[in-house]
Amino acid sequence: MPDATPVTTNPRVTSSVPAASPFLIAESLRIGLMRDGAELRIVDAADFTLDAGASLGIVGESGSGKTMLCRSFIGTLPRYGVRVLGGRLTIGGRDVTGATEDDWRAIRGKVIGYVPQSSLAGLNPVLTVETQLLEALQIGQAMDKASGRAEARRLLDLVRIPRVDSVLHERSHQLSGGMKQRVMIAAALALRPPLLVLDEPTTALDVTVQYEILMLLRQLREDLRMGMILISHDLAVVEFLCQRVMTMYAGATVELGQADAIRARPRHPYTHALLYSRLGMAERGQDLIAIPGEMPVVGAWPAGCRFGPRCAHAVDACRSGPQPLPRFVDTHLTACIRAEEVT
Amino acid sequence: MRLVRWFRELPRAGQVGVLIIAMVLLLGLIVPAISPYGVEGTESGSNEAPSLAHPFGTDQLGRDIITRSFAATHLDVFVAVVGVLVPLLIGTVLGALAATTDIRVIRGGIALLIDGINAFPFLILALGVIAVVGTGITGMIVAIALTSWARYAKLARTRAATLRELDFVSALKLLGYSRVRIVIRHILPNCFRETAAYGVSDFTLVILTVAALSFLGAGVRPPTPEWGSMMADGRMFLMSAPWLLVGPGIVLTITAFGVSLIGEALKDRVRA
Amino acid sequence: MIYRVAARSPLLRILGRSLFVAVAVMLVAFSLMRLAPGDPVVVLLGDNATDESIALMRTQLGLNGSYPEQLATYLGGLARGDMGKSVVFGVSVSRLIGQALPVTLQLMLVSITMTVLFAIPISVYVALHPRGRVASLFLIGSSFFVSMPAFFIGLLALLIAAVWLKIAPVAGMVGNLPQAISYLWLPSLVISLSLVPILARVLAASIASTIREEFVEVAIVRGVRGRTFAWRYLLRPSIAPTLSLLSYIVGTLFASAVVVELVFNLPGTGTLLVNAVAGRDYPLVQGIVLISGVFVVLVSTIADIITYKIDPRVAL
Repeated sequence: MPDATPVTTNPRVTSSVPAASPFLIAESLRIGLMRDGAELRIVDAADFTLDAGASLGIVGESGSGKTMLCRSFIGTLPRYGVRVLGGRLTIGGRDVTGATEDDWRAIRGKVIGYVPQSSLAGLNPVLTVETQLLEALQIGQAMDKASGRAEARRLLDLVRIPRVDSVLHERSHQLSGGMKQRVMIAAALALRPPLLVLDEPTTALDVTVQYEILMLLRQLREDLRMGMILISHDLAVVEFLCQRVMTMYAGATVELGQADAIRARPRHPYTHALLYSRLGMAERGQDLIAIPGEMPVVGAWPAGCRFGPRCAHAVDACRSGPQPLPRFVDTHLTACIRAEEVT
Repeated sequence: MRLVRWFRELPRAGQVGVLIIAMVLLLGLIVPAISPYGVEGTESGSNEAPSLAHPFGTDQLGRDIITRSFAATHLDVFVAVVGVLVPLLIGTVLGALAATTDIRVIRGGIALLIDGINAFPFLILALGVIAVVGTGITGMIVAIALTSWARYAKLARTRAATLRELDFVSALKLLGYSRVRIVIRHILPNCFRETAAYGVSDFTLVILTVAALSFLGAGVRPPTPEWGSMMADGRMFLMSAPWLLVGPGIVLTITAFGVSLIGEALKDRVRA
Repeated sequence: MIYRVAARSPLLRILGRSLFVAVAVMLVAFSLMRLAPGDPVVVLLGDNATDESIALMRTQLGLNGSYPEQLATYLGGLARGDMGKSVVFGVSVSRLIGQALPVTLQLMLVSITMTVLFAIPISVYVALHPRGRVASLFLIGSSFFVSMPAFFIGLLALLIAAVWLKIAPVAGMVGNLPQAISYLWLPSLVISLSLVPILARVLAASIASTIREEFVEVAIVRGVRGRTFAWRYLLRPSIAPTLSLLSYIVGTLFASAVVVELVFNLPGTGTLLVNAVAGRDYPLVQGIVLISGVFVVLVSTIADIITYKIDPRVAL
């Protein structure tokens, strides 16, 4: 694969972020809605930080709350009828916990780029690729048409799109799934945001195309020294792209740490099951694990450890009290009270 | 009992519609019956403004407008019911036939008629038919039937074509049921369910068209009380006696409004 | 063969389909006069007519020979732009229509412009605030206005605006657009009052489903806003489903124009048609009916082509 065009880091990024403090901080973040005077939580007490230029992968099944957590980073929770219920979220030194639409305008595009699910229509079907790229480039900065066009071509080169000239004038229905996703990435990179948020960026793609896109993203992350938050149900995708991994189950963070540490020794039975329910791992002589039962729906979380009813190691202590908080066990955080005994 | 449950399960707007129509029909029976003037009575002064004696005023011949407005309910609702039912029956049968027959002439002929008729603005084609077959209640019903059936036929044709491809129909064929029997026993009833739901919402259009045709002088002729022709009288005295227009106009609008509320409610239910 | 070639090009498919409908429209218009119970010529001339006058009228109406022969005469005439001669006025039907059609077209143009201008802001607002008070008011109000016959709205508007407030002329029309706007705004407003609910409802539903699309969220996060956002991300992707309604709207427009022209004394095709029906002027009735159908086919063809151009998602 050819090298990406060398890119210098955006001076705006380095100046806006104090070197010491993390770029993104979530403190006891609760997301959900109020129903009958009580909180109906979808994400419960998310606590983590992301340094500038670092990468974090959030893994979980559908219903784990990962999608809504992702929406809180891009400020589109109201579209889904939910909001931040409590805690604090800081992005680029700015408190966005109760941010209004106007507050978000200062952040979108410039501070955070967003790449949507590959299975959904992320490109406007009635506009050409060029129109949408120009649009992304012209947010908050005046740019004449000629230099805009040149920038748009440069962006498409950056995501390694062949025959740039024709692609610029094509619309969504003329592009393949992989092409669409490359265009989405190009548009998200338009203003050189220091953080890229990706929601299942490769899910519906063919395996080979999926691999190409992942390679591209890894290359871009290194070349542009860009922060990345990746949402996926696939632990392998997350491990491939991210330095750190966070596992979510029923709205709670159940494991958080360095990707290699978690891969070497997952300390929560759920992550363990996710890891070994994959075929690739089982071929190495391990048993393929199927997780019995289903994730509890929002509002019907069980007492104690929420994974308890599906956990092979659950004992009485697991079935009462609140959801256990993540604690350090050797290398990283886990929310399992029996981590030392069972993993 | 079933009627009560049907009513309870309607959306709120639909219930309001049912109440409005019930009220209009009831008043249509009561008002002419208890009116001291009668439908044709001309004892009062002409073009009298609304008063306690004549709540909607009187018309140019001294007839009581409220009596005539509500007496018109019978005729207008009757014509509208026939104007919906006749084309609904013809259209559904022809549409189902076009979708299930193998005879290309019939299939193509019906397709040509459906597309040709549906392309015309409804009111204009109806006026054209009336010009040829003549005015009056019969002419109006013939015109509405000839121009409306194609809308139902189009719906029924689509429905029948989908059903024909369905597994249960081919299963019936395997069991040795004849095509005619399958069409009559299984496909037609399904088509009717669909066109009937549409028919209720089409009711508003037909009521308004009947009134418009009479207003244009192509429908019911005076002295029969009918909203459209009463309003055509009112047009002559628009400046001096606007109540000639307003009385029948309000009763017509309320009736059409009630029907359209019911139609919307039923359409939503079919979709759900 | 032709079918297969046409199937490959969406544009050819649209044109082929329109041609089929246009032929169907001509056949229906042709059949109209043959619906008459008995002999239309006798109906027209009365029982005391002489044989010569009957024979003359029969030729004039194109009723000589078998049906296929009559059809050939009719289509041959149409090809030359000849729609026969008006029985009442004694001049050619095409000339009468040629005089009246511009009035109707101008009325329709002003009406559709007003309708679109009203419907867009209403539908965007309703789609963005589906549970608001405005939305429920709009729903009830639209059911109400759709239930109000155009001639009732028209006469009330005439009474209020022309007679009481004196802000519009009582009737008639002088000159053409743009001067004629002072005569056309009130009748057009009347027509649009019954059309806006229909258009705005469909448009609002279409916008509401567009809003849920992922590309809208992407645009929000990208920072697109204001008029660019409203036009590119709310309206444009929502227009295609609405355009398929256009032939219905134009049909309704044409029909409303008939009654509204009569109410406002505008010398358009509607007034001409009503007079023709009253005078049993068969060729004139047939001609106006045909023109209305052809016009609708023409508009829906253009609508289909525009739909295909602006939103190729729509598989035709």
